[in-house]
Amino acid sequence: MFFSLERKIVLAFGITLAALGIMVGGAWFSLTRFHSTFEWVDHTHKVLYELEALLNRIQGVQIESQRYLISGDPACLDRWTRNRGLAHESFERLSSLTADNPAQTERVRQMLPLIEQTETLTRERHELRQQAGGQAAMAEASRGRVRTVVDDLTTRVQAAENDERALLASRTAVAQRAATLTLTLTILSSLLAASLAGIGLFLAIRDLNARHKAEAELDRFFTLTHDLLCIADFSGHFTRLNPAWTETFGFATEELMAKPYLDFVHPDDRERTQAQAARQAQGLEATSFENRYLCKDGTYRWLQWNARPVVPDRVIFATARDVTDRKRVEQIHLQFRSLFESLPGLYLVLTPRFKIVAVSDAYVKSAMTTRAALLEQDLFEAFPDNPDDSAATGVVNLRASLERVLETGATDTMAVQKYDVRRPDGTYEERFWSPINSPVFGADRQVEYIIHRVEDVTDFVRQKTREGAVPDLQSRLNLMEAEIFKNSHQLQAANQQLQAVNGELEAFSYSVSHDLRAPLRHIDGFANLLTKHAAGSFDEKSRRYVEVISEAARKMGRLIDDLLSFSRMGRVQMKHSLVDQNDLVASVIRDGRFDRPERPIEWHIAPLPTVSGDAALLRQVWSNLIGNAVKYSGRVPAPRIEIGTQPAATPGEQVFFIRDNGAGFDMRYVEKLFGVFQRLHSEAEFEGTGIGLANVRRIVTRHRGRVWAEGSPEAGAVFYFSLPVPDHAPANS
Amino acid sequence: MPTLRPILLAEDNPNDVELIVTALKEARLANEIVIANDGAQALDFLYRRGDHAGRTTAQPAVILLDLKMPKVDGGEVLRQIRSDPNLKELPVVVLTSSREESDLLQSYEHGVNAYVVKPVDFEEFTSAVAKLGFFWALLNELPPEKVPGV
Repeated sequence: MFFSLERKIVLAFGITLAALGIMVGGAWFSLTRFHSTFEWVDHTHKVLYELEALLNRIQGVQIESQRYLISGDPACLDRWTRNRGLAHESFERLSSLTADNPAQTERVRQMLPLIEQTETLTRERHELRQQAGGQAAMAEASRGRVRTVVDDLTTRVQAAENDERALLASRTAVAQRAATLTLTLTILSSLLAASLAGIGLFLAIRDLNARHKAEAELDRFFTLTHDLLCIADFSGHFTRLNPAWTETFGFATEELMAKPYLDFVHPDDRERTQAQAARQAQGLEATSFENRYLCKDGTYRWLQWNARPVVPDRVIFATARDVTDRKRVEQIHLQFRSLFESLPGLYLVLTPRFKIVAVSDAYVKSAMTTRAALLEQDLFEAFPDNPDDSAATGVVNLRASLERVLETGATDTMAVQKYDVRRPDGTYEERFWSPINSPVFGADRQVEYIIHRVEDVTDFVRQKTREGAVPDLQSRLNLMEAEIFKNSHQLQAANQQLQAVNGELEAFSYSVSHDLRAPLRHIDGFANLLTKHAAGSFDEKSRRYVEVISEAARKMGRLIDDLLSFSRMGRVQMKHSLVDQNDLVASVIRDGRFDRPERPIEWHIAPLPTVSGDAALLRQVWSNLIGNAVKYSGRVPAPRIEIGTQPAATPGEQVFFIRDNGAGFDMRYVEKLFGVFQRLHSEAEFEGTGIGLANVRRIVTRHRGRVWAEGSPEAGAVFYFSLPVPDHAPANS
Repeated sequence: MPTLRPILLAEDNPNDVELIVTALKEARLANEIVIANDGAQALDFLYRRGDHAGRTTAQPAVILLDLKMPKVDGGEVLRQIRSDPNLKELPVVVLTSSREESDLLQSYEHGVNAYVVKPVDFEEFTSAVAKLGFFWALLNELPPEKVPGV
């Protein structure tokens, strides 16, 4: 707000005082005005009185004179003189009274000659009486000269009186106007002052309310927060605590404030806390100071402090946070780290960027270096290849292995590596290692760390390369192990070669599938066109010849398809999962639509166990076997097909069978049954290329199972295949 | 009855061309059949340039596309068709010998309408081609033709 609360209050008071001042001033002003009005009234009355008095006295003069004229009494003369004197007195007083008003002054001045004339005339009459007697005087008097003067005077006096009254009226009016003005001003200024004061008061009250609200809010925060808030004084006591203290420590607020706060600090932390308090008394702020405080139940909790002293007031304002849990986690971290480092094996922990973040003591020793030299280093900068060995493959192989771990998320075992180690003096020592790299997954299921574990097999390898006698069993054993280690290297190379060959085979079969089919299609196509074109001119034989050509082309097409699919069976990546055989068999039968209305098949299907394998490939197996069973029962009036399991000869296997009552086969040729393109029946008897069972055998073999069969001519056949029980199934093939 | 749009056949092997044309004729389709012997010719036809500059006929009702062709192969033709706003709505049917998964995936990824493997058996082949022709040239509704140059 523009003005602070204090200013507003001062302003309100100021305005009120100013208003009061105005009112007082106005009142004073009015009063003086009224006062002068009273004076004026007084003055006017005095003037009027004197005018009357004057007139009276002059009339007295006149009357006494007349009396004298009539009576000749000297007492009248005395009174005449007295009146005359008094008239003069009145005149004098009048003159001074009207001195302020020029008009009145003039008027009064003009009365003087008349007054004197009256005196003179009456005196003349007196003298006349004294000299000529009363009658003569009376005759003179009847001329009325005195009366004229007196009348004139009377008129003037009345005029003066009127004037004086008029003056009074006007002065009164002026005074009244002044009073009205003053009153109006006073009222207006009062109103203005009142409203300004009122506004000021309103704003001040609003400010006060806002302040109250803010205080209430702060108060609420203070009470609600789980953080520990407090005020402490320099004497070492708490002076104010929020409820969070009681919640955290169990002591009541009064208990905490009753004793010095050091009493609640852990004995080991007291010295530090005191030192900290001393620093704060000098005005230093404290952030992130930690110490332990006692709980009511006797345990201690770690607090992290932020404190700010206010030195002039000799208090400290502080907040503290309970960091006991974080401390505990930190301690666990430290414990695990020392545990890891003391492990007997040679371990490195790497980030996905191959930075070393932890290393076991044994590894440090074996690498002839220090932990400090390894931590936070890039793996390959810390362990470069031996520069003198131009055929060194350690770095490139290790890097490849680590990349594989990152890509597949699986452990990668490396073949024995020659990876020379640098001695402290800079020379290199020949070493052989057997490394295993495994991933550690983070919360987001991504590889967070890689653990690189090695075994130093230098001695074994050296032993292997040493020609000559191997005296005892132990050394022979060592020798064989070394042999294995060395061969794994070759195995890896062979694996890579195999993958390359597979790729070539893939390209080959693609080419075959595309390029071989086209000419076949043309053969069949044009053979047909030829027949159509010739139509009439072809005889039976010609037509038959052409048909043979077509059929041969078609047959070749089928052979190509079968060959391609057989090849694919062997190459395709197996995807292992748990396969419900019941669902699979039911689906194959349903999709095969083997049942014909005129020749329904009697199915006997026992419940089949779930197996571990590639669902698509297993489907092929069942499809081929069931398809064969149906096909070879084609000539039997009541075909019967039975599917089930039977107990296994070897443990860890499950055996499945499918029995039909169809054409069967001669057991003498059972070896050929599963061969590629081998058939025991002619194409005329039953169609087919002879690839189906070869596929079955190939798939079952890839599942680590076996196939075999029994049969007799015209009496049906049974085909068996085994699959490993799920527990024993390998993760990858 | 709306004007008949041509059928564009992109096929390098003349034997296959003959078989397909015969099959289409047997299906009694009256649409004009335009032959392109490689991808470049097919694109020239569609863009009305090169040998087909100034062509005024409508765009094809369907393009029968072989994958393996010299100069510009079927996959490339398909890609170009689908990325051109004037051509992208034209129906394309890949008609090829290959059943390879990679070819299938690639073709569908580039937005082919249908993928048909040429059967070796002539009867099947004829029947397949006839059905294709009938469906795409007569039965299928096409979006209204875009005026060239707009």
